[in-house]
Amino acid sequence: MIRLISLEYMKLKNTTFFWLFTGLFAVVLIAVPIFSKYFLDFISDGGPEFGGLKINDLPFFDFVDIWQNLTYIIKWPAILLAFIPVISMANEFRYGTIKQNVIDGLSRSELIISKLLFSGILSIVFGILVFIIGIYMGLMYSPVTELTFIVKNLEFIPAFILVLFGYQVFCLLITLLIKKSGITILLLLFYFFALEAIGYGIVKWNYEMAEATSFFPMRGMANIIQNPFPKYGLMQVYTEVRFRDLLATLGHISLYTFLSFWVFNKKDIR
Amino acid sequence: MTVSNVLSIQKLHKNYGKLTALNQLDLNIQPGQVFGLLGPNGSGKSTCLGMLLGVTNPSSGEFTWFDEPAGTNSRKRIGAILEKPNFYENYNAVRNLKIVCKIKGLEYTRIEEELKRVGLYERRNDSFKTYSLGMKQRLAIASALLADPEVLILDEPTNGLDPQGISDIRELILKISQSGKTIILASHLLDEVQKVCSHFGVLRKGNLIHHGAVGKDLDDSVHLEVGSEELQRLEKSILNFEGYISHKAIKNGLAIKLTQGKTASALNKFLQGEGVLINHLVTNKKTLEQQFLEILETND
Repeated sequence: MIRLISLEYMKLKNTTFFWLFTGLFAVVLIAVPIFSKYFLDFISDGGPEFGGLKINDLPFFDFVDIWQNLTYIIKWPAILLAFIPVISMANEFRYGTIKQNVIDGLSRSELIISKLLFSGILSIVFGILVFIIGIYMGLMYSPVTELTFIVKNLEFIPAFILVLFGYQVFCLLITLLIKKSGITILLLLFYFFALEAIGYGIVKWNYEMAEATSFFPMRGMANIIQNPFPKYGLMQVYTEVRFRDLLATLGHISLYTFLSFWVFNKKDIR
Repeated sequence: MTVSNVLSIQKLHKNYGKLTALNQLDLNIQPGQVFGLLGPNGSGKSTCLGMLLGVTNPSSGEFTWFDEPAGTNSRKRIGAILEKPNFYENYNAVRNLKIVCKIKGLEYTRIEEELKRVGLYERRNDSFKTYSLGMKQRLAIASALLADPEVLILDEPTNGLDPQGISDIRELILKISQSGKTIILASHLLDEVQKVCSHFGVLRKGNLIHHGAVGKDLDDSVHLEVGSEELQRLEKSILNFEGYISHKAIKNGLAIKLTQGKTASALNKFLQGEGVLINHLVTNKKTLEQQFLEILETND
């Protein structure tokens, strides 16, 4: 297992794209909560009041709320991370190194496992980073800092790790089918931010069908972290990880993992 | 442990839709053989090697490496390059070879030695994409030799190289073959096979139409074409020439086969002594090519 993880790391560690995307995501991950704090302070400063309540009086960064708020926002740019397996895999096709890897004695399944394990590690690393940022922001701005409040709803961190991992597995599968990095990325961006967004909106709007959103390939996984913000408008939201969303996420991940193995083992490598 | 067959293939078959790329191939390769797989482009050589190395899925049939079911463990004992050198473009030679070591489960200790052997040590820190084709091919050979493999598989190793590159690679193959390794060399270049191989097989449109030892079929005998206006006298006299093996009639003369070391001038002198005047005398060194074309023709 260690051999397969370090194999993928060796393939990535001297590439620009790997450090570009991890760096970019890390910057986004750190910048978003800090800037939102400043932004909220800024617009609250002499801004509109709602019955004596300013926007930054809302407990965005308070413990209990902070985990869902943070992970919900950051799960959108998390697609940046999923471009790493896309480019890595597409490059292997482009340079024929995948062929050489197999010839040298790596099984096709081992190759997929090495990509997936590395994606898993990457997801955990960023999960930890979000945890650190959450702790930092919470300790700075939360009025309550008792341990019981800090750890409450902390399950959003592992949920976030699952989302990161799920995105990467899905994007890897698409790359195995398309094999070219540029077109795969464009297609994924278009799908994620346009096609699926519209479809999701329509289904979600239709009250009876709302639960069917679990079947969307990417948002079905991301659903595990439900949108917490309507609650500040006094609307009802889910403020915990729902079991059915967890099942949906795990279902998606299992399906894409299985399909990746199947697709890659079935085809000849050219 | 000695194995009886390094490679044993039974009824290996591959078709792409209606096209048969390799047809029911049976073949055994014994340890120490330098096996040349000959065939024109598109004859199924690469398909065959692709299946033997796990990158192409067979339609049917079986094969074993080292008398064991083929798999990742057998592939780790093989060094192979298929078609073109495949490496991480932005990585230098050392990093690329480290990745190969990782896959094969090797220490990095032999990297330096192999790079020196193929003459790339000076350029080891330059990225792969800056290499010439010859250098890429040499790196591929270094990579194939990294595990000190029992079997070396080379697919068209001199394809696209300049004369210097070709001669470098051939010299390298010869050196390696002398160390007793089993080598499988796919090529459409006959003299390449003739220079290094102990055994050979000919593939044509997916069928193995001939296989055997090079020594038997492709010996070092000297082939001459002799033309004369007195064909009957020539035919009679030639039988007395020391080193005569056989002859057959061709257009305006005879194709004569002589033992190794005999020369055209010796024959010319002899025929002059016999009083036979000749008007055409050519040494034909491309015996394998002739043989090859004959094999292809008879199987048309």
